[in-house]
Amino acid sequence: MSQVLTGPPSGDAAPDSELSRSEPARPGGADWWWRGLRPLVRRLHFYVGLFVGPVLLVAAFTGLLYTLTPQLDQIVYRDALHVAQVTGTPQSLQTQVAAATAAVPGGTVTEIRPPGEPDGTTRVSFDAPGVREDFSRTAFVDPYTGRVTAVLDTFGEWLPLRAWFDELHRTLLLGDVGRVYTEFAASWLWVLALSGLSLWVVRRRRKARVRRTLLPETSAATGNRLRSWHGAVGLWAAVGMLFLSATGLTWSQFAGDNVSSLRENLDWTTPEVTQTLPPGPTAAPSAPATDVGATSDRVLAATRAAGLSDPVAITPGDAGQAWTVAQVQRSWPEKRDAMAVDPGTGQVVDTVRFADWPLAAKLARWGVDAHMGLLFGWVSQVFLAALALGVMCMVVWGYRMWWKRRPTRGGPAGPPGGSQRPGAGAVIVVGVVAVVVGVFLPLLGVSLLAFLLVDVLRGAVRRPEAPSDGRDTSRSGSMAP
Amino acid sequence: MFPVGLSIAFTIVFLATGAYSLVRFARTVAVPGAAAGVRAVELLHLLMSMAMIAMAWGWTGGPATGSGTVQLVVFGAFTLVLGTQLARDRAPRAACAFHTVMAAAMVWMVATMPLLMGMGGGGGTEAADHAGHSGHTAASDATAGMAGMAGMAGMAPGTAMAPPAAPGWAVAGTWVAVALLVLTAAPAAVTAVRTARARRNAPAAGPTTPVAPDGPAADAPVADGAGAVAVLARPAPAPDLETDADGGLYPAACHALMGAGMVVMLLAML
Repeated sequence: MSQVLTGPPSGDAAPDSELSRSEPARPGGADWWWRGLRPLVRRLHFYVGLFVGPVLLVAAFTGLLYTLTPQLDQIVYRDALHVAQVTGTPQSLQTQVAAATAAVPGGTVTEIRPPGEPDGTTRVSFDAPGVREDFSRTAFVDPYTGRVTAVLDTFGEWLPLRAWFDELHRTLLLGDVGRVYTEFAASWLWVLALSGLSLWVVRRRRKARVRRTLLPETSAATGNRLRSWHGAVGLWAAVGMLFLSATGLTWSQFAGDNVSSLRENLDWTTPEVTQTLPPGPTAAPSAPATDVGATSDRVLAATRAAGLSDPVAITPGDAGQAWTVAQVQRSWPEKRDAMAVDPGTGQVVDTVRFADWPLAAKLARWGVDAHMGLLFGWVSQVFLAALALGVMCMVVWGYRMWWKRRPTRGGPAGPPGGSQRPGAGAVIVVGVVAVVVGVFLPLLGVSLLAFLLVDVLRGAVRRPEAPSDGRDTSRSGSMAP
Repeated sequence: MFPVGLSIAFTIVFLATGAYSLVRFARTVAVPGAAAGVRAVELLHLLMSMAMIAMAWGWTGGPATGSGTVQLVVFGAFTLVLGTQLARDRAPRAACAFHTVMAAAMVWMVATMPLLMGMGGGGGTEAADHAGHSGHTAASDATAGMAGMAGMAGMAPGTAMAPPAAPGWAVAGTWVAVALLVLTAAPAAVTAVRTARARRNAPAAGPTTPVAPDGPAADAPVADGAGAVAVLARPAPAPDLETDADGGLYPAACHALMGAGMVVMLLAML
């Protein structure tokens, strides 16, 4: 790491009054390790921020847009989501499914969601020709009149608008290739947060330490003011950034596999009801397509009798398998109980209660729903929007700080405090951690490796300038120890 | 894959070389004035050691896998850069030749391991399933990678099938790689042994530094013992990261161990 770890090109060790003031020599004491580690952490924070900043900016901006989608959905799809008038008693699912089936010719029912509120519509989802992979064609049925109010292509439970913003945030609408960008952001976000947090909190301040740590200095000179905003906002946002990074990685493309394997090995997986029917004459071989509606009424009645409250989703099983009825409330308190029902007899054959989930599975569920702004409703949305704005501001402030340190003699400014070298022990510790983390988070590992390689190979093949003392260094760039 | 005992042996050897390389790398970062080339070489040692451990346990796959592609790119880049330096005579030839051969051998191993060991191109333990984002319900569509020839489509379940014979060019290329590794690593082994003997026989005194037989090398980079037969001279000049204070024993031993490990793994693949 010719420059990344050892310092910037000549001329860019910009004097930094705040930092130099904050870094007096600390002979002895218990902080010797920090003296060796700090230069490395500063470079890490600088270079990661410099190169990952744009990706974080995009992820935060698209995430900010995503937080608005629940309200947008209610405005754009009001007619599909709500009935015009609540009159009388809801019709049977059989009637509603029949209406939906007529509206989606050639479709196979994959899920039925009775309304969770009196003025809601029933959603009947289909696997239908011409529908995108991972999407469903969903008919929205007025339960009181049996009239289909809309037919939309949905992504899971998300309506088209939210699905678009969801895809924008996850993949920039680039498919699996685009998933790399979110994983890249999630893989490095925690590194930025932790490195920045350690630099900010451990930083020495002569007076008003607590206030200057927690709050920005609005009256300071421009450079210090920018840094204080960057640091103070980062301090408050750090927990949120760590949370977003951890939850984001759980459904990432490469690290997500490792997370899944880890959860599987530690028996932290989300429990599911078994769809295997007990042997015997009661087991229905299959439910004909025309009977889906009637069977839905039967299994829903059975689960309600067994204590499963709304909102639920009914999923038809394959031939000879049980149907599942699962609660789908993703706001606090989460309702995730599930039951498997024999479609022929309406007998509940298996039950999994959310209360019995392993703690890790519950945390994963809560984490995912909090990341998506669902867990605490509008409070979550406001928190996430503020977090996204904070991240965007920090990225901009970071670049602004870098820009303000120009001009420098050796090109763009390097990390602040570039003349300080990390301790060998610090490099070893960080190196070991990087190896372990790089294996678990492959995109972080590969990007770190690419960065190191470019840096080290560039330094190795570059013919060094002759030093002022006339010493011959013509071989110092060669890759031979 | 390899027998467990052999995998454990590979792990011990390459853990040692990897740890040593990491320490040397850290020193080049921490000490002012270290040449960029030294850092690059220590990084190469470290990456090779890690890759060899992963290969020993089958954690990484062939060229068709992501991990294999990364290795091909990384070690391919090192081969190109080192080879260029060797051709331009910008580095001590013996050391540069050894590093070039090692990097090229890594590329060869990754590229031909599936052929030599009768494995499918997938190999490794990489899962191709993705945690779906469909409504963030974590639906997964597991796609099993081809783990080997047995169990391929068209075969009866449970049918055992002998791995196909490796192509002749792959076997011949592997022997060439073995020969080149032995040729370029042998001087390092000789240096390590001689230095160790000299240290044992020398009276306890100050630190020593190796000198190339054909000239003084008090301030010249020494090729980690590779190629240059070290003799001892005292007193030592200022501490030099590129030679170590141990008279070049450990760098030479590191090279010898890495070369030997790679040779054994290549032979085990045949």
